[in-house]
Amino acid sequence: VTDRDAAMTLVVFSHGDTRIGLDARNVISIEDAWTRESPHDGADRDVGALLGLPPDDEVEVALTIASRHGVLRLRARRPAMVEIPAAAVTALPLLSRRGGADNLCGIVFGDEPILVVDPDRATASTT
Amino acid sequence: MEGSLHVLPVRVEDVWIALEAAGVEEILGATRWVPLPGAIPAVPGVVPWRGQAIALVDIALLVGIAPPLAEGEVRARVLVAQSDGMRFAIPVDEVREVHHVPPDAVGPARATKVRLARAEIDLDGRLMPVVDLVAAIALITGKEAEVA
Repeated sequence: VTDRDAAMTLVVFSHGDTRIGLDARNVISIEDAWTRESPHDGADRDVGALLGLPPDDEVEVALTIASRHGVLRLRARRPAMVEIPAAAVTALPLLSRRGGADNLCGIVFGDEPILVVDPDRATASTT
Repeated sequence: MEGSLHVLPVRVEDVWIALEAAGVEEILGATRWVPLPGAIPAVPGVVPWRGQAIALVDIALLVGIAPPLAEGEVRARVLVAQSDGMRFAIPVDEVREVHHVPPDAVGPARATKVRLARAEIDLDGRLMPVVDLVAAIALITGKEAEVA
């Protein structure tokens, strides 16, 4: 049972015009100073790849996320930490669970909506 | 032979179609929708409604009267409808009041040429297809590849 009044922290990345969020509890590390010339070991995909988005040239950090299915290394733009009520993450409707939405667990509506990635699905589908 | 119908006429671009009023829960104003990466063209994103996210269904694309909604394109009205236990949003340009159509003004879809028409009505001298929302949702959930 989730306490919908509880606060949760999202680590939010921009990828093109899309904002992608991950529950901070699943983010093990964020490493600075990533460049394409000196990439961090194992981080060979952008966070946007979890949603089928094309590569982003502005990635600058590497992150490690963990779930029940393993560990995943990704590249991303510098993230922001956003604290929201857990209830603000709205589940996606069945009709929308297709294509790139397979790895999504919800959405946070607002001026700049955040697509929230399910770390279990993301790691299961890519590891 | 169809019985009488209560229909809600809606317009997308310059084409009027009718939806069965019983399937429509609410009519909203222009509402921004959020595109989902990788979504099929017929269900390109989601709309916030009463604390939920509901799927945006591009009915005009499904019935073949308009090109796919472009990202960021907002229409003046959004219907919240329900069919087969699923709730979804339908963007349109204009909505008229609900009409009761007597049986003698309801016939099989012949003259109007839109997909998913289950009947045709004569509304004040204007022929209008009645679009079958159940069939539209079945097309999305069961045969999405054909829609895309």
